Amino acid sequence: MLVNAVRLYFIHLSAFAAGILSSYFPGLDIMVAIIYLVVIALEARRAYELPLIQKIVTASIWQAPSLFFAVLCISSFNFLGLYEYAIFMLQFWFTPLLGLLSLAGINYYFDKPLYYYLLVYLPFISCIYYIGIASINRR
Amino acid sequence: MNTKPKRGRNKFGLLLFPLLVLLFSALLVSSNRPVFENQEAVMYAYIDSAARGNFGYGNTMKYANDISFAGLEAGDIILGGYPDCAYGRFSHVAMYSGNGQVIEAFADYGVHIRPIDHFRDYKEVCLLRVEADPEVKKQAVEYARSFQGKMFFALAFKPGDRIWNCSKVIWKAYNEQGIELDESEDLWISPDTFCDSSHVSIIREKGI
Repeated sequence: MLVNAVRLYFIHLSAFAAGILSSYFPGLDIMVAIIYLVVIALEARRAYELPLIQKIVTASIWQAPSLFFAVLCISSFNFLGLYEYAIFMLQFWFTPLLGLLSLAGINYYFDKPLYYYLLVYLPFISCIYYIGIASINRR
Repeated sequence: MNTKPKRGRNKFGLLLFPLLVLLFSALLVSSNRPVFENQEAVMYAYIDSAARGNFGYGNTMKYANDISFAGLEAGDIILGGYPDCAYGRFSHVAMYSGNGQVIEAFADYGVHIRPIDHFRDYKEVCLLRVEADPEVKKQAVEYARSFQGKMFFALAFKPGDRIWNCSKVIWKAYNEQGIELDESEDLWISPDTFCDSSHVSIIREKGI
């Protein structure tokens, strides 16, 4: 379980760097985002044999920083003055998906753009994505 | 018997992104060698600030500066700065669009239009006028307005039209009108870049 979480962190942090650099070349950032989703799906398949609770813990450890900032955004709780940086931190955390997020369109809901809501809920969606793929029956 | 392909797949997942980082770094450096050799490039300012422990846009507070916005024209540039900002004297920039409104970009709103009054919160404020035909400035405002709702990302590079930060919106709006506000041809635009441009003059500035 811990090995899986460490692997996810390593992949995520290297994808973070790849995501920033690729954004200099418009289009490549979208490719990086798609590759990231595929690689995470492959990682999830590695966790197939783990009990469900361990899959949940692995995904939660992997997304712990983003879950923390998402909770700050949703609750408006200014823990240690971090609230105003929470959306910045979520943006940086999800840099690997920047290319796809930027395609979210320009619609506003309750005074905020669509990508804002995607960022706030992506930590939970990422966990579900990982746990879901890790739980699909092999044929 | 099945372990070899599995091992290969295990390594593939771990090595793919580091390899992409190397590839993209090589492409970026080779296509921007003069920027990397320029010690005044924005990235070196970020690194210097980080070494001093300054990250982000500095110590935010409502400083209640009393600068006058009287006489601003559409297309003028407004800069605001908090102490210990990582990118220089100014942390934010917006374009005046008329009727007390500015076009700007923030993380939680993307590119959007809002009242100018929040620039009173900054400790440092500077109002710049781009030396250009009023019709050209009007076109720059309209062009910037067309980015409304687009995504904000603090480290948005100059190329591309999906990801923006506050400085890139203004640079691009004037760039499309044939006015290059960044004479250093850097990878990024920082708010301070506009102060150094030969195409602008200072209307007034204030530091508390």
